[in-house]
Amino acid sequence: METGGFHGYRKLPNTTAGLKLSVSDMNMRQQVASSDHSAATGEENECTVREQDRFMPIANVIRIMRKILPPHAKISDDAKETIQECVSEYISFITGEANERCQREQRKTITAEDVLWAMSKLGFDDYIEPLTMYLHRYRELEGDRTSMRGEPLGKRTVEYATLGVATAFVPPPYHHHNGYFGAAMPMGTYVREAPPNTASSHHHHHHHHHHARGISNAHEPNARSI
Amino acid sequence: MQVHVYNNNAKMDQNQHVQPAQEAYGENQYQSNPVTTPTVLPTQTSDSSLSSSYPRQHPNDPQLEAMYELRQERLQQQLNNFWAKQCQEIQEATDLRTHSLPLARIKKIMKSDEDVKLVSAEAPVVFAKACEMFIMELTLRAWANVEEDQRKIIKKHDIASSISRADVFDFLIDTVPRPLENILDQQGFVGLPTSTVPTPLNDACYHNPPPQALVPGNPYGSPRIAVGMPILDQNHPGLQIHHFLTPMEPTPTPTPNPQNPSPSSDC
Repeated sequence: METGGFHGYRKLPNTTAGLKLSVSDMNMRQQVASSDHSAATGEENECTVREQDRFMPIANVIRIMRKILPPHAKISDDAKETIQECVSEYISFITGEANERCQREQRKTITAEDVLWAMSKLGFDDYIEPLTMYLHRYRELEGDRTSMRGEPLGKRTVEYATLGVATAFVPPPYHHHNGYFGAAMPMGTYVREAPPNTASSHHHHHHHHHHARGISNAHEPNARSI
Repeated sequence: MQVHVYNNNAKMDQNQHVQPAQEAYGENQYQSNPVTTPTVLPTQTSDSSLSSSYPRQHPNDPQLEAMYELRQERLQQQLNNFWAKQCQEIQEATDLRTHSLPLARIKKIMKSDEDVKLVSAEAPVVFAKACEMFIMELTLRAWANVEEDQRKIIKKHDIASSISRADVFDFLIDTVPRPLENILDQQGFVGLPTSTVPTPLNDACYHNPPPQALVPGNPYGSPRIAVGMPILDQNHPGLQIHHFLTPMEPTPTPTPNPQNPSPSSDC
């Protein structure tokens, strides 16, 4: 699926960025429909988990495993099933910690920030940087889609308010790891004012990423004032 | 407006020293194993579970200890390359709408805990990427175990062995219990004391029951499994739905999965 190489164009030129946004917009519409269906299904089967729904699909798991393995590697069936069980356990483990935080702060919706916070608290520090980047980039496209489209649905508006995507809403204060949340919202609002990923580079040192976030954060007030 | 978490920055920065030159990680990484750049120190981060296992390895045999440290150093380097590659791929990704795991399934697993009320739309998205990296990290660690034995097939005990070597995976002790015969086969296995990860009970409050069964450090593998038995007893009533299929150590799990013919379905 993801080869890791370039897909025929780069992010920096504006014309190709427009093309990318168009493609992403179409994918986003499909994703929105999928998300709505996902929400409906989740509501219906809230307290019942069928046998097949307990684990990730084995084909997806195998494909992900093979991405990291050399071609001659083989995977036994019990290893595949074990990874399936580990993934479900991982989701429940992180979700439990994130939900505890929500309850302490008297909130009902588990947000992406809660998930990241729980991972950091439970020792998955290596995951925070790539997932923070992933969430930022996901929201860049999300923000473009939101600005181009009309008023979102009421429920989604509430969720976006919690996530800080909609600038009209004030997200609730978070008491832990403010660095991650502080970086998320300015980045989201910044992208709508300027070309995406202008400040980013191919360096992967975390210090450099923070520097990039600082630039974005500093630029935001000027954009708002103008 | 933005608060910098310096501790996490320093911690994460140490893990990003490697700049991978390979395009395809899975292939080039292993073909160029002898030519790996020695830019990573074996004890890179104090929080690295691999580092904490060094002092307890074979105190009476310097040669075996050196071999074990070399393997750990190589695995740590592969992991550092892996994380750097993940950041690079995310930075260069142009399609963030296709997820490698179905979001609806993730949401169902999240809501299998009845205490979970609402889940925002972005939480399963983050989980999809996190689980993809989690699967790859477990697979990478297990494959390092396979290479040690000069085999080519990843088996369940490879996953169990690699899980037991890192504190961060202690929540999987019940999911992947170590068979006793494999403990004897693992020469370099040493139980790691758990100091930060609580018991993996989502229904229970993590702060109330102190993980007493995991607190004492075990220099040997067999006592660690013995200590782990009370946790299995605690989980036997099945407080968590995911433990339904793994009540005991041997876990033959028949999981009929009709959705196999539909891979990467976002539902």
